[in-house]
This record gives sequence, C-alpha cells and structure tokens, in this order.
Amino acid sequence: MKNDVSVYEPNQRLKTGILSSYIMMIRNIVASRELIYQLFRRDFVLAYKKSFLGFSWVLISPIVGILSWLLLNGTGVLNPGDLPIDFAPYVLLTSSLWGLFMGFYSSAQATLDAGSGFINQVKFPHEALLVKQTAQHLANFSLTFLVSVVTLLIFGIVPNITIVLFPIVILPLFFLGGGIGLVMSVINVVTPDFVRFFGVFLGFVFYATPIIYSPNIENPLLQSLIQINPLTYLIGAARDIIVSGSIGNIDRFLATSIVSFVIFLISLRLFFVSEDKVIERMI
Amino acid sequence: MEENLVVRVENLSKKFTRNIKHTLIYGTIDVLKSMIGFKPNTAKLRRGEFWALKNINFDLKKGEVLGIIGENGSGKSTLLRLLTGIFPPDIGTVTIRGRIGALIAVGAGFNPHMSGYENIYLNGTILGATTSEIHDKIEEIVNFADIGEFIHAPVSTYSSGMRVRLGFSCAIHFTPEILLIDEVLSVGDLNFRQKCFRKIDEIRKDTSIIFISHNMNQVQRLCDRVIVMDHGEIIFDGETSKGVSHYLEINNQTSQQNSDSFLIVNETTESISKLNLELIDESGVAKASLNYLETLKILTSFESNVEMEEVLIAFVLYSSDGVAITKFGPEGATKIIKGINKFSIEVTQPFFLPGNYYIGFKWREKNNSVIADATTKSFRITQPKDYTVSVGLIDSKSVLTKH
Repeated sequence: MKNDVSVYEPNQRLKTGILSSYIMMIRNIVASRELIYQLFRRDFVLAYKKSFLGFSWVLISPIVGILSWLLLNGTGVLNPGDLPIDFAPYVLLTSSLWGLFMGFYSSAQATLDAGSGFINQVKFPHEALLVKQTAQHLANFSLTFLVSVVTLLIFGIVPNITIVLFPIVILPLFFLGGGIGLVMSVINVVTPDFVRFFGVFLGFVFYATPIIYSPNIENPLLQSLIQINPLTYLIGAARDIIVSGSIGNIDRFLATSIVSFVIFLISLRLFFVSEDKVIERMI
Repeated sequence: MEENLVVRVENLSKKFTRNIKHTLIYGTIDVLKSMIGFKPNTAKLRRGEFWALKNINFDLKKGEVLGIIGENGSGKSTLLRLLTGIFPPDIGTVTIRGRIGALIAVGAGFNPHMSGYENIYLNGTILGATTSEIHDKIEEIVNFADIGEFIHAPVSTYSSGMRVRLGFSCAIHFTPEILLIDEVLSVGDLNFRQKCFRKIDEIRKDTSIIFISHNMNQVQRLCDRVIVMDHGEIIFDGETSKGVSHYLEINNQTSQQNSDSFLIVNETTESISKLNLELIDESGVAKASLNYLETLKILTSFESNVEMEEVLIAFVLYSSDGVAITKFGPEGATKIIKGINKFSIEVTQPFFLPGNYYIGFKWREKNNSVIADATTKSFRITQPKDYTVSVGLIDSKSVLTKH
C-alpha cells in the first residue's frame, strides 16, 4: 500500500507559498497528461465527428468573415488608412490573430466548465483543463491559420521566413488572454454578470485594435486608444513577423510581453487559491 | 495518523447556503478575499447559511467496510465529497492515506458520441488510471460490464442500465486503496447487482470501503461498522446491526410524525368509504410498532353502500425495501354487507426479524375489478435487548445433527 498521506483543511491553498503553488501546478499538469489527451480527444475530434461537414466548418467561418469585409471595403464605407498590404489579406491576417487572442481568452474562461459533469464527482487537478482547452483552441486555430497562409499566397504575399518564430511571438497573446480567461472562469461561477460585461468590453476592444484598419490611422481619438491598447503591439508583432519579417514596435512589444507574462503568473496564483471555493457552487 | 488507519476525520464541518443569491454573494466575497490573500473566516455562519456537516469525527481502519446511513439530506454525499477532497472543509481536517476512489456517479465524463470502448479509456483516466493500466484491464472491464456488441456502439444508444454497468465496471476495476460507494448499487438488474457484490467481496481484502446506501440488507451484508447521520451530525457510530436498528427507529419516528393516518389509500371504488387499518395489541388498542415475536394483529374497517357477495380480501406484508414476505387474509371470498364492515386478522407465528415493514392490499371482486388499493406507512418490529444478530427477514430455528 502506498503511504502518501493527503490532508485537507480550511483555506489550505492560501497557506501554500507562491512559488510552490507554481511548482505544484506544473507537476499536476505533467502528471495529468493522459487525462488532458483523453479530454482533448473527446472534445476536439468528436465535435467534428457528429457533423456532416466535419472539419470544413473550421474553414467556413473565416472565409465568410473575409468576404464580408471585402464587401464592406468594396462599397467604400470603410476607410482603413495606409496599409502595408492589400485590405483583404490584411483583414484576414489580423482578424485571425484577434481570433487567436479571443480563443485563448474564451477557452481559458471555460476551464472549469470543461469539467462539468465530473468536476464535482472526481478529484483531479483543474489546471489540466486549462491545458486541454488551450490545446483544443490551438488545434482549431492551426487549421484556420493554414487557410490564411494559403490565401496570402493567392494574394501574392509570400510569408517571410521569420514565420518560424510565430509560435514564440504569439506566446504573449496566450499569457494575456489565457491569464485573464482563467480568472474569469472562477469569477463566472459566482459573478457571471461581471464576465458577461467583460465580454461586451472585449467587443469594444476589437474596434480599438488595428484589425480592420491600419495602425497608422489618422483619427486622433482612435490613435490614442491604439497607443494604450496592449493588443496593438501583440497582434501587430505577430502580423509583422509573417508579413515583413521584422517587428515594427519592438520595444513596446517586449514591454507588453513582460507585462502579459506577469499578468499570467498572477492569474495562475489567483486561480490556485480561489478555484476550490467555487466547485461546491457549481452543482 | 496511526499506521493502521486510512482515513481520519477530525471536527469536520461544512456549511452551505440554501439561497442562490446568497451563494453568489458569499461566493464572490470568498473568492475575492482569497484572491487578495485574506483567509475567509470559514468557521462562522453567515445569514442564510447552515451546517451541512457539523463536527464529524471518525476513523477508518485498513480493510474495514464502513456503512454510512441516514435520511436524504443528512449530509452523507457531502461527507464523501470532502473525503475525496473535491470540497474543502470549513472547519476541521480530513487525513487520507493512499489513493481514494469514489463511485459517486458512475460514468463520470462519459461522452455519449464515443463508443463504450473509447469511454472506458476516458472514464479510466478521469478516475486516475494510466493508459497502460487501462490497457491491462480493458478486457476484464468489458467482460464484467457484459453488454455484448454494444461495447462498440456510442454510449448514447445505451439503455440506462447498460450505462451503469459500464460505469460501474470501470470504477470497480481501477481499485484504489480506499473506495467510496454512494448509492450506485441500487441500480442495475439483480444479476448485475449480485455480480457487483461478489466483486466487492473480492476487493475488500485489500481495500477499505465506505458504503452509502438506503438498503439496510445491503448495509448489513457488507459493513463491519456503521455511522448513522442525521441533519449533518453523527448520531451513532458502532456495530452494524445496532446502527441499522437505530436508523430504522428514527426513520419510523419521522414517518409517524408526518402521518395523519397510518393507511395511505391509493384507490377505492365509489361504493367504499372510510377505509381504515391499524395495528392493534391484545386488548384492541392501536399501536405503532410490534415487539419481536409478538403476534401481528390488524384491524380493518370500511363502509360500503352496496352489498357484495364475493370479495377477495387479502393483505401482503412487505419488508422496508419492498420485498413481499407473506400473504395473509381469510380463505376464499368474503361477503361484504351494506354499512360498516370490520375485520380483525391475526397472523400467527410471525417470526419476522426486527426491522421496518409495511402492509399493502388490493381487494378485488370476483370479476377481478379492484374495489380498494392501499398501503400502510412502515411500522417497526423492535429489537429486544439481548437480541443476537440474524440475517434476512424471517427467523428460523435449525437443528444440527452429526452423522
């Protein structure tokens, strides 16, 4: 018989040191890699299994998205400002990067929900769900991303070789989106209104980020919003690494990346100390 | 914790709220407090909160089978969730040695679109087994579940019984050091239930078990010791038969308290009214329980506005879990007169063991139409002080002869 003794007592997680809480979470994730795989398989593969169009759904929504922006641009109602590349591939690329960020956020925000049905029946480390959620999002994203790259090629834009750095450049997007989402997944159990409100706020952030217009847009109000918006730099860098091969605003990108990483670390700790308090409220 | 113990629960309390708004408000406060590093004061009750568990103390020894019994809402399932660490305690500590597995809801995380086979892998990993462990046991699991070709069909096509078979089979095969079983054995058909009991008998050599059930026969069959819970507190901890009898006692009291009338009438024809039935003692006075070996005597009366020549009047005695034990009543058909009818019936030689019982009946006319259908609330056959434990429902005497 194994002799590992576990003790449960009130407010136990608050008594765990900050550093040891990170170590514990990393160990838990490593130990639950099979669980992560099984849940990933359950939710990713099977989402497509029970549909006639299967994986083609991944392509349908970005294509419809591009078409609608092209339509708007063609009518002349949009004035995107100076763009480094054609409008259509620009919107395609930046909006798929926005989608990447939003996916990090919303999949992390559904972390605790992803365990519904067994989260209050079986004990397992819930941080495993974050990994599974993120992996699932990345798997979906890589399919749409492939479509985007092919479309760029059709428009005559050959991605720069620096595209190999893409996985590293998008890390800050994960830290920021995943970090905030993780905290929201806990708050969503007790204050769902707040999370809804935050979702509405993110809809606003979409327009305050240079996605459907150029980062050099002349409108002074929009310019000042763009300047303070961290996503301007994070999404901008990911776009630049594909299109031009060098990151335009590298200082601000690095600073924002560091801040995003700190936000992620803080979020992990907040999740760690608070999530066990909400499980009993999830019934 | 001593070497021979696998579970130790000390001064354990857990509070819940009854109201959704309070749940949200207190939840938000606790989450925010924890996030900024303040420990929420879990030991104090706020408005709208109540103790779902209060000051629970017990130990579980290695290899012991402990039953937890109590009425619905007495805190049994909450206690299991604290033992597995799903819910954190508000006061007190839980110490566990070894891996703990729970059969709380079988088939946790089953995906309806995946085949039974694929779900074994999914469910197994959720229960904490590794893929190679599942690999080694999959054949055994499939055989135990015994659902034939369905194992390769999506779980959504299963009957509820098949789901339970598969879920139970998974759970029981990834046997941890401590197994918690919550009410799951009440489902499934008789054959499968018996198979489960055999499996439990097999694993109990190496596994400590905590068993929650409302079925007292199962509890008596399996448990070395029982805890009786009432409103979140332990009111008894000790020998199984005494615990069961203690539980039945309170159960009976509540049932008596809630009752306006001992007899619950489901249906009568228009011609019958004022149907009544009670247990009576030698002098004809109504009583709520019988002493062990005391004669079972009932008195029944009703008013009929027609005369009926041939009515089959019979009663059935049931055990508390609905097993019909014996039929009694007058031989052949009885004549019912217009006006008040009254019968008393005595069941001689009632060697029924202490426990809870009830009586049901369906009287019919000769043409088979039902004229009255009713059941009584449960009544108790009490346990004498010097009673030695027996198993089952009926007492029988046997003689050993050596050849």
